[in-house]
Amino acid sequence: MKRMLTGNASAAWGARISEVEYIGGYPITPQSEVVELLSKWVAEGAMNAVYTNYESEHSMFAGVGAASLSGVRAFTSTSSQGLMFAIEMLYAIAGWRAPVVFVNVARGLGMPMILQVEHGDIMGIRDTGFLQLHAETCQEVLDFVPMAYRIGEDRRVMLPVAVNMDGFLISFGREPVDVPDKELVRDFLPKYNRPYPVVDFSNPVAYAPTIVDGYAYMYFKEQLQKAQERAREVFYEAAADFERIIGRRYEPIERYMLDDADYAIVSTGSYSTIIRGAVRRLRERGERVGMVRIRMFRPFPRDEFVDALSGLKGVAVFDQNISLGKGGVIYTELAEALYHAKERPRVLMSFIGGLGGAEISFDAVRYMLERLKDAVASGEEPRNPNWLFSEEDRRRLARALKLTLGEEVISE
Amino acid sequence: MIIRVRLHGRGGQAMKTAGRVVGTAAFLEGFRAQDSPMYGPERRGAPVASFLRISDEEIAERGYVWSPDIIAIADPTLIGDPRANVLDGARQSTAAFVNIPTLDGIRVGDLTRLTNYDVTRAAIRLLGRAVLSSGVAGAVVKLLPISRQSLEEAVKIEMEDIGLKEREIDLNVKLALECFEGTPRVPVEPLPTEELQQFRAVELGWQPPEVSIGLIRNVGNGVEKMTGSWRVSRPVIDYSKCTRCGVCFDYCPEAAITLAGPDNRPVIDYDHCKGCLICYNECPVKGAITVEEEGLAEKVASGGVV
Ligand code: SF4
Ligand code: SF4
Repeated sequence: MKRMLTGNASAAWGARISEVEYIGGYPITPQSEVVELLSKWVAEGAMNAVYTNYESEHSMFAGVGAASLSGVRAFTSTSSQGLMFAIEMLYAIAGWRAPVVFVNVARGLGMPMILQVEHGDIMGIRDTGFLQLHAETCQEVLDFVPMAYRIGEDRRVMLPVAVNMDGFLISFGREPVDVPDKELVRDFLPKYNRPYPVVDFSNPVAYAPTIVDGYAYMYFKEQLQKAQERAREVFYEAAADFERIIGRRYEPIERYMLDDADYAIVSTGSYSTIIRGAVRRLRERGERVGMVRIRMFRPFPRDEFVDALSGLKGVAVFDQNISLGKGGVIYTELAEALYHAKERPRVLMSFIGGLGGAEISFDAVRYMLERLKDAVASGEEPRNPNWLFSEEDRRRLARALKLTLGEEVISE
Repeated sequence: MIIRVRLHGRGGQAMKTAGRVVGTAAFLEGFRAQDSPMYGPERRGAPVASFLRISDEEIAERGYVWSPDIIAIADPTLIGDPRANVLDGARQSTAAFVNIPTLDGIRVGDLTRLTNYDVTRAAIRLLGRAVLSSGVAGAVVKLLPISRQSLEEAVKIEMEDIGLKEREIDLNVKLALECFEGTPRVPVEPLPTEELQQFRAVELGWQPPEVSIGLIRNVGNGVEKMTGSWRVSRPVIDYSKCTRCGVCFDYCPEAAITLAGPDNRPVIDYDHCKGCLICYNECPVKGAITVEEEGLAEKVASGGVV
């Protein structure tokens, strides 16, 4: 049944239909609505779960990790500064092999402080061992929660999963969302069955050993990497069952208008809606351009990208994040993925934009394509990264700086 | 030529400083030198190692010494402690110094070039306590192509660096020189770099969660770790004063105290009592628990020297 839901409500519904048994909560804009809804449902008895309000995100992640180790399905959500505060515990949870699912509501990272979207927070945890699914729409937010449990709890994987949605645009934005029946979800998602839970008192075990030797530390880190690698096959199995039972089909990357394309734009998250629309319009004008969108960011869908982008003349990567001192994260990872591809695109260009919710219009997408075509035609190495900063942005900035500095430093 | 030295001791015996003294002595002698310590998250008494490389050519190595030419053992109970890995990478020709009054009945694996001195006794006589850094450094320098003068100078530099007063520094120099003189020299045969451990890569592959998720299934294996060998001080219960209140039993962090017999008397398991003296501090009855200094003889007897 479809209804109008925010991304936050979709995340809460995702947890509810996954029948999570433990929820940790701590408020942060633009995420608070997720845990507010869940705590309400638990209080009303609509969910058979335990809800705990924590004093910080750090403790909250410790709590949900421990709950997951005890054999119950655990859920939490946070955003931005809160995620950064908790990051130490994320490494711990992944190392415990506790398949917690958490929804991240992407928001920029201060200073300067901002509440609007940027992917620096979710990219900042890319090395922790968490799998990552990136949603573009409210529907994907909801669907990715049971998907995440199914993949993370699989014996071959046993890893926590982050489901990402964009702050405000999705978290507070509403659109029609189908909430699948609990019965159907039960079919799709078997009960969480942890080997050696911590509270099986007839078979006592201890977790989280301290290791003093490099070889043992390497062994456990390598096992984390191997589990990440196997998550790829598990994603496909889960996606096939999801389609059969619930009726929506997901692949690690979305390929849009790539047949006979010469150029493509790569993106992730909710701005992909804008890029897809622009690509369709550019197609109507005869441009041979397509789009690839990331759904699964960890493990990185390397082979899928090689398959989708091989033979193209040029690829532009839209990064809504910046690894300072290096550049866009997706661009960097994609460059590695394509390095050994036999027919790798001749030009790979990096664009940084939409930070803190900055505007991306149809025309900005057209601009990326034009720059890409120029680079392909000139045969010269493009300068990277390129900032999508418009004249209109400059006018707004000039006015703002005049107000804060008390003098005109940039002319309108 | 690179000479690789590994020093083994327990937290509190100052093997890190011993390594530094030898490192500085080698440096003063004109060698290229490198020293570094390694220890885990454990407390005083737990195994600690430190490493030295002394060379007349570039030292293209770091960290743990896997193939020692010299092993120095500050505490003989470490020889039988599987956690200390005293014999890691040792070969028959590796020279070993043991801090012990006599080598009679002492085996260090199948090593043949053993030497010894009673550094502990000398340290207690000169410094009043078993701080072994200068003494072990003196003994190790004896096995190296380093002069007395450099040793003396290095002890001064390092002891000043850790903030000792002039009198204490002089006593440390005395200790170092006594151990230098008293330790019989044994030949040291450095292993050429080419003959160090071979590297053969293996692939482990994915392993099921039952083995790969960092859990301890063999719970209770803590008893296999003889934390009793960490002990510097020994708590002793006087049953004529003890009221059987059980406070020491509650507080012991190693669960080394059990309540036994019909009167529930506290009994200390000295194989695992690590000598933290929390029981002594918490006991509400004056004199019910007393503290004795741990003698080497009892430790060697209970710590399993091979
Ligand atoms: S000193 Fe006392 S408290 Fe500490 S380990 Fe020994 S028996 Fe236990
Ligand atoms: S705390 Fe002291 S008095 Fe009480 S049982 Fe232990 S030794 Fe005896």
